[in-house]
Amino acid sequence: MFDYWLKVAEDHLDFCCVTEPLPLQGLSVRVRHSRSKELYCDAGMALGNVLARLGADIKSIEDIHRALTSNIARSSVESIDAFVMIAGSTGVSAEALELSHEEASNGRPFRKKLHVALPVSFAEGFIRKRLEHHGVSIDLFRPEEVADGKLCVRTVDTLVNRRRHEISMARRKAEEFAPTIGIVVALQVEYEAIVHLLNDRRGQRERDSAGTLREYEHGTLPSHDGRKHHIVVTQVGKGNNRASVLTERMLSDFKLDEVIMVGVAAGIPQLQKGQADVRLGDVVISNEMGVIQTDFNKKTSDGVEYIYQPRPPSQAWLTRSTGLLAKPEEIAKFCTRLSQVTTARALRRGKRDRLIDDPKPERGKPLRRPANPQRIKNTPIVHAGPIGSANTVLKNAADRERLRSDFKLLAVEMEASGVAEAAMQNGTGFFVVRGICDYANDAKEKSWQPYAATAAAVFAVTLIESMPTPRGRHSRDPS
Amino acid sequence: MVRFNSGDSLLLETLEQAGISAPLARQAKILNSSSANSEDNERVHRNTNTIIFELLRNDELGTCIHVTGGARALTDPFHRRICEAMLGENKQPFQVLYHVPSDRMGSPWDLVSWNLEQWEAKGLHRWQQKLLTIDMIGRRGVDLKGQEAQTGIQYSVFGDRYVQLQAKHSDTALAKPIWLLESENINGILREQAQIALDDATEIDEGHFHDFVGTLHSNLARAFLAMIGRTPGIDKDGLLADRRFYTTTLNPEITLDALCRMAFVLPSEHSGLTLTDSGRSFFQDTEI
Repeated sequence: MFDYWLKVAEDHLDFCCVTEPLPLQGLSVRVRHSRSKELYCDAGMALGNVLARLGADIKSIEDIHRALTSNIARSSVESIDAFVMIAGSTGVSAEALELSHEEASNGRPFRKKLHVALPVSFAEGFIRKRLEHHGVSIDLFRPEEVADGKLCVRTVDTLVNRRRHEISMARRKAEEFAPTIGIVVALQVEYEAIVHLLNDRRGQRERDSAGTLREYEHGTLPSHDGRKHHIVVTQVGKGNNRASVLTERMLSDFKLDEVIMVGVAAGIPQLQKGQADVRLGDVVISNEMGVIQTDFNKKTSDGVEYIYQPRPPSQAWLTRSTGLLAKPEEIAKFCTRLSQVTTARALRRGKRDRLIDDPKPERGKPLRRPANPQRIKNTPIVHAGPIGSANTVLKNAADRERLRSDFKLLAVEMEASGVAEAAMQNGTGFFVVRGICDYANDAKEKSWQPYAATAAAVFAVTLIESMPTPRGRHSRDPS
Repeated sequence: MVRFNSGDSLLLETLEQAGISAPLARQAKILNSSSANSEDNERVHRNTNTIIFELLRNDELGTCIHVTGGARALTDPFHRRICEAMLGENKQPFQVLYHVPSDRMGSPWDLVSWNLEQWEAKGLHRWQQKLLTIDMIGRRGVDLKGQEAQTGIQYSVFGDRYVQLQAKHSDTALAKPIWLLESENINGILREQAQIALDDATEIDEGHFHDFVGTLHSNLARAFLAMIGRTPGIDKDGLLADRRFYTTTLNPEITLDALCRMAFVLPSEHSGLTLTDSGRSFFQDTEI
């Protein structure tokens, strides 16, 4: 029976232009048949073999009652994609009815996974009526349709159709909203600052298996060419290790063109003329020096030798950000928008911006900083320069000054190096935008974080909106 | 967020047409508004979607109802995603009251193609978007109710305090003045009116939409598309004379009909059946 059934099934698939040799690959199927007649036994065995030959993964669950009542065994039932039942007896029919009432732990009913073949003599019976009432797929077969293989063809047909439907719709959805820009944030305050600026927001929360969680926020931003940038945001928590792992996961989940780290950082303040006037609420973006991992070094008896890898950011974003900084009207647009957003969200700048480098800040005196005629009161300045990254919370003015001296840094933070590493390993461009919330000294505190996070988010959005979409991505627009 | 002022005469008029008294109308907060301009309309729809999404997040959706003409809101990909998210979280779906002529309620495929025609007339041309919308309906992402009478003022209520209201417009209008309002009282009154209309409306079985998408994805549909692609101009009777189309069904014509209604196949009395560009694209895109 098997050889003949396989041939008629393959002939049918061939006629329907199903060119894939294993059209059921990846589909886990449980085949159950009544044992009351030899015909059902032969049909059940042959069907299982045909489905396996077409790629299905045939699962065996001997005692479905036990599996449904035990929490541990239940997951094995829930992982099955299709239940094919040849129900010519009370036992299998009752099982089909029972499954038609059951739900998986995610609330999805099992009935959508059922395909029940009943002898045509059951057509007017209770079981058929109830299964139909519950929306279960039913096939009424005549005995001769077992012999001529039509029962087999119709079952294969049903499973392939369902699979095509599911794959096709999943593909359509994935194409429709495929994000092209990934935004990585570390803290909740940074997450809130950026997602509030997105349009068309939607969340994605999925678990592939116990112990994993994928949580993203999707949205759009208008692009310079009148289209939409599709954005995905992930929050990675503190530190380069988590940042690297979770950015890598985001890059494996989506085909991104670039990744942008957006959040807060400590600024390296101006102590003397000739240094950048970095102040609280300002924004620091990466320049061509990119991100420098300051704790990647070799310690010898002669001292510390830095061995960090150069990590230049995406050239396209570097060019666009340089262009934006050179245009006063674009900077003015950013400042106006920041003012609107902070007003709408009732956000204030933090406590007074005083630079106190004394190890006992409560006793220390604020340092005088050189006057900057360019600075407008309560208005941020955007600086481009090297950004230092390490797995260390820096709260020491002397160490900060050493980093300034060694690397000419404008800001230090704890995630960009991990993000850059993941992006570069995937051949993806990256960029960093940081709002300054403290000076990495003993006076470090959090009152500037909400404003600084918002300043960084608004600048990142202004920058993204000034960028056109890549031509190759145009077909992804749903409109 | 602004309060009602004397310049909002069209809004006042529209609310009065919807049965809201002027004193009550003036209490509403206007969260957003748009002139009869497509881009402007999109901005208000975006704002509306954002609020619905936040309500879903906070479990504050309340009763969600669209009182609409052609149920075009369902084709908005972002709104569709919210409906799917509501479905995924087992929330009560949006109830959608829309106009369906009685002669289109008879057969399942007639009903589906009525929707397709309405959406096409409003500018939805891509088969991918149509299919995603029908699929969402088919999975009961919304609860459809049809009414013979044309809807007067169209509106949506959600969150037990929000209303999206549209000025009276013709069926063919691509854009119209829209307001997004916050008012518990107006929401309550419109919700009650909608509930009465929903009770009188005809229940639509969303399962027909699921069957339609399933039929398009069937092996049989694939066989038809392939055969018509190979022999353009083949006549229907000639095509259906091939017994292989009857291997899995007694009536393959239903599948052919679905392909025609979806505009994957163009039927013509004079030139037979032709595969359209959409049909070719669908065939190529649905290889497993």
